[in-house]
Amino acid sequence: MAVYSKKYDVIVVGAGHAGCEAALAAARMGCRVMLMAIDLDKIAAMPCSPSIGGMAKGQLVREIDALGGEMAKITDKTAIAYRKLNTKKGPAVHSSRTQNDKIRYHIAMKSIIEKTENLDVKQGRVDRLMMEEKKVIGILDHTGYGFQADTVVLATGTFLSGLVHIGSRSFKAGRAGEFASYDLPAHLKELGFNLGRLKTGTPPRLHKDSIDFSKFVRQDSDDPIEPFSFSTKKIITTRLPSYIGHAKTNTIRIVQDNLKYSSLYGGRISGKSARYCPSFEDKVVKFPDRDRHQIILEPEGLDTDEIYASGLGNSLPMEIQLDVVRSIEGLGEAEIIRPAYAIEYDFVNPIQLQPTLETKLISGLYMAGQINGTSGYEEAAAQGLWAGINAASRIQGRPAFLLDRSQAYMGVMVDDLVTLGTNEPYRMFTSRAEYRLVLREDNADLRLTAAGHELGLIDSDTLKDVVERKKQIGQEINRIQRTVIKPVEKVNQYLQDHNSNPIDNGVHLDQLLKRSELDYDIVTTFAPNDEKLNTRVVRQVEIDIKYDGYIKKQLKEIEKFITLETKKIPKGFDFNAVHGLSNELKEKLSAIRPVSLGQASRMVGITPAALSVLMIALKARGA
Amino acid sequence: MDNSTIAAISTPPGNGGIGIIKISGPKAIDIALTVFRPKFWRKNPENAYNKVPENAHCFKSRRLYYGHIVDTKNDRIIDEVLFVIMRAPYSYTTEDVVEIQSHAGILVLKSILTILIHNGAQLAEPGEFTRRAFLNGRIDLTQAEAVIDIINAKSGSAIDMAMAQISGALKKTIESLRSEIIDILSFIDASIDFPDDLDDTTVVSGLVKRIEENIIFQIKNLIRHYENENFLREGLKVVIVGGPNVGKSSLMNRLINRERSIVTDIPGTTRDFIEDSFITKGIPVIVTDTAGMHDNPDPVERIGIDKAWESISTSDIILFTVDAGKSVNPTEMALFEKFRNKKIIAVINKTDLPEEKISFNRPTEWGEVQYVEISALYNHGIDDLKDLIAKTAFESVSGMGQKIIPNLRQKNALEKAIASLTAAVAGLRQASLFELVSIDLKSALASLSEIVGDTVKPDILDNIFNRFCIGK
Repeated sequence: MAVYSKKYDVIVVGAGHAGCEAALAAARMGCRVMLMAIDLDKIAAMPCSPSIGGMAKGQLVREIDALGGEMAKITDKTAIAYRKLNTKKGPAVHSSRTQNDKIRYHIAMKSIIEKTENLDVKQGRVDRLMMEEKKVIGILDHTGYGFQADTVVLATGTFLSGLVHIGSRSFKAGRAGEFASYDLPAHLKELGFNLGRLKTGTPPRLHKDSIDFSKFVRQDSDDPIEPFSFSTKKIITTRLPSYIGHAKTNTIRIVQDNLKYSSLYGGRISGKSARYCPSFEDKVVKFPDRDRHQIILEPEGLDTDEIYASGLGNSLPMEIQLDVVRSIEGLGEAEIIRPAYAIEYDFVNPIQLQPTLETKLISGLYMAGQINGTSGYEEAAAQGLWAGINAASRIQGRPAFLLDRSQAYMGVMVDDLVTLGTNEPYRMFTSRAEYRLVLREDNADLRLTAAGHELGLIDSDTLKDVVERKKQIGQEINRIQRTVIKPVEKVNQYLQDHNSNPIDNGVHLDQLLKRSELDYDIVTTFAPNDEKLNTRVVRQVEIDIKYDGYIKKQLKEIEKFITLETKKIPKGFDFNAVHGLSNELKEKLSAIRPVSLGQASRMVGITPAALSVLMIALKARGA
Repeated sequence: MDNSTIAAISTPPGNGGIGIIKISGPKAIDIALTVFRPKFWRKNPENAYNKVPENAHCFKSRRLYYGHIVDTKNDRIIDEVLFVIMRAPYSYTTEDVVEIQSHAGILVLKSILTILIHNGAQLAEPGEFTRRAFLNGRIDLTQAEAVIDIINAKSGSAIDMAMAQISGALKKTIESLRSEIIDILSFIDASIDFPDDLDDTTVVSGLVKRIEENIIFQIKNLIRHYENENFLREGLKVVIVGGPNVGKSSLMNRLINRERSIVTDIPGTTRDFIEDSFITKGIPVIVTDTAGMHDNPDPVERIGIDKAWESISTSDIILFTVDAGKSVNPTEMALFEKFRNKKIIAVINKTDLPEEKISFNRPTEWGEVQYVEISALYNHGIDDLKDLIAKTAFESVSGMGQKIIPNLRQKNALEKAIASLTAAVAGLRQASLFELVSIDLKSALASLSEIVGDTVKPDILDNIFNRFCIGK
């Protein structure tokens, strides 16, 4: 067997959003890294929506950025629309979302990867792992050529046994038009992994010139806009609008009448689809009372006329797709450039992973992205970064890099995956985070920059800046809390102008700032700080003071959460030997092997009594 | 989970002479001392009696103190007790432990426990004292398995008990409240996580209405049921009402079995209201004698009558007393009408009068009111009256919606739920910051989940996907 002479620390398989972040993080931490993908012209491709961010995903992107990942920076370089969602529902649920030029996004990422030191990029399909007992030592590509490495990160997306469906036809493909990978999943099964099947899909792309945009409502980018990356000073890209319209009863009827021809409802798909991302057929079947469904037309880039028809995902045959599209007002003469399709693929149920995303079965083997049952570019990128950092940490003898549920959305996601597993494509939602109020987009840098710096992924200047900002925030809050506002005419006039109750006695300024109808402007009006504060500082001060009560409540809950989290369960702990646990729980615990009592407490079926039993058994063995 | 201070009744339920309540944890001494009023006998008369020590350090560890447990809300004495502090680490759990020895009546023990909980203690989980003893190294490690068995056994019986305590009706009510909250929470969280799919700007007032009218209202009802039932704990409030000189004070004296009210023939003698208590069928009854109600009171009588109204409004049962020797007058008729929404027992006094002098006739307007014929003078019929009081009390309890009566633990949880729901309503009204409303609703849900013992987090996302058409 021919083997490449160079030996790597980390090999990353797949160059999607997970693979790119994994490879970059490991290389930047100083490891020798190889990134292998089937088609290098598809590096960091966006095979579905042109959007980055959105609810909870925006938080993930900011966290990736704070830890030194690439996603936010490239997003800022290639965005063609920005929107901030949910600005009225509370500070923690603000989420940024962009639309991006897909081609430019790909090129930007490709060029960064090519320029990164310690990082070799190669085209090839990985068919097998090289193994030494239960440890991975490299990979074999489709030509049978070997590459050696101490760790391997699998970030294979939808490519494992990928099967594209359109109507009654199916094609083996990783994405429409790309080779799939059938040998690797078979090999993983041989190795003992338990594989499941998922389904996702994408809507049709239409030609811009064939659309009557006058029948749609134009939606422009926000102005001014806030960059995604904490490091981006200014956004200079051209912005393009989107267009919102609706599919109405005539369209719904066409789909209802032709359901049996769809791959999904014709019984040709066994993979489980995501309920939050229903295809058009799903919407029609599950919500028959709705008489219209929203369609958003989004440009795919500045150099192309392809339009992404969000809301029209389906697996109907071509001729019916055409009827469906053309039945919609404004799309009567639309030309479909690429048809919608459904795709099924294999995933490895993530309860087979440790919290580092290393598999329990094979030492040195990590998994990230859709192979773990997730969905979404951001979820993938976050896991890629996580797995890349952990692979590198392992090589360098550093401790495992783990964030818990109170520290980051990433921590919530990984904990959900490895503790509960998933049987549908897992997407991040803010409602999955118990401590949503403290895991905000706006404070991701304050939460995680130090950790990124520790890993060598964030430079010292950035860290210094964050430390300085934290100090300013603390000082300003302190100052405001100590400042007393007297009930003078001017103040009460101001309050009246802002529909706020006048004051009779001196009031501490923070008490006024807590009022929902007032903002930091009252501080600048009556007790301005001597130095001009950065808007980011002001924003934190405002949030910390306004939501003080709720934040304190969450911090208290976090304290409680941490006590269980720090009660570690040793690696080789024998759950079967614990007296007083039911056999069912013993089995479950042995399979999931929680690393802490906290993780155990989140498993399905664990009762408070079982937790007590576990606690005592640990004490008995440990002490 | 181990920084909390826990409390529990640690003697088995039954009719023993003494009951013990145990408190353990970092705040055990502080909490216990807020409700304990020691009595010290010292040589120096200035310090002799009821002197509260300056601080906890004045109490010696493992020394028995005598005093009272008082309800901190109204300073009422609950029971006289013996009180002992065992400072860490020389205690069963190795934490600060306080034991209160009181009289064994379950009512007394429960009230003391309630007061401790109101002051910051948490109800102990099954086997928690033992678990703490073990985790803190107090029990030998070889006993670990025995400890586990105790916990498992106790959890088992606790679950059985919870099942037994939670009647089908209460469980149903809680479940329906939960699903209503989950429904609203799903909407809130859906509108946060799927801003493109849901239009939420117009629904806030509807949500407020649902929370207030469907949820808070029902929980308040449950709490009221608890409080109604609470005569078992705080005493049934009975008020003697009637026209002047029908023998109310004599009745009072007979009920409490001693002279308390001034009995004269002069109408209006009872100017202040007089309160005392007696026990019938195990129920403590607090009886209040009121001034005679008549149309032309002098100013002094006026005060007495006003006070009478006050105690009538908080009473459980009214003893509407009439004179067997007189026919009902319009004032009495009018008075009776005012009590229509109360439980009334009509007490016909002076039935010892010779037959020809009996002129009382049961007015048809009074309908199905219960009558008792007595003679306060000769102590006739008093036992019948006491029996009827007890019977009426029990009827009023069991008549309430098939016994949807929460217990103490459940009531505490209901109160927490109301606090969270009230905050949620305020949040919705103020600025509609859905995110904070969501936090409050989740707290409310957690409180209700405690009642039914369901620790599984509700799957809000699941509910969202089933209800709303979501997704691009």
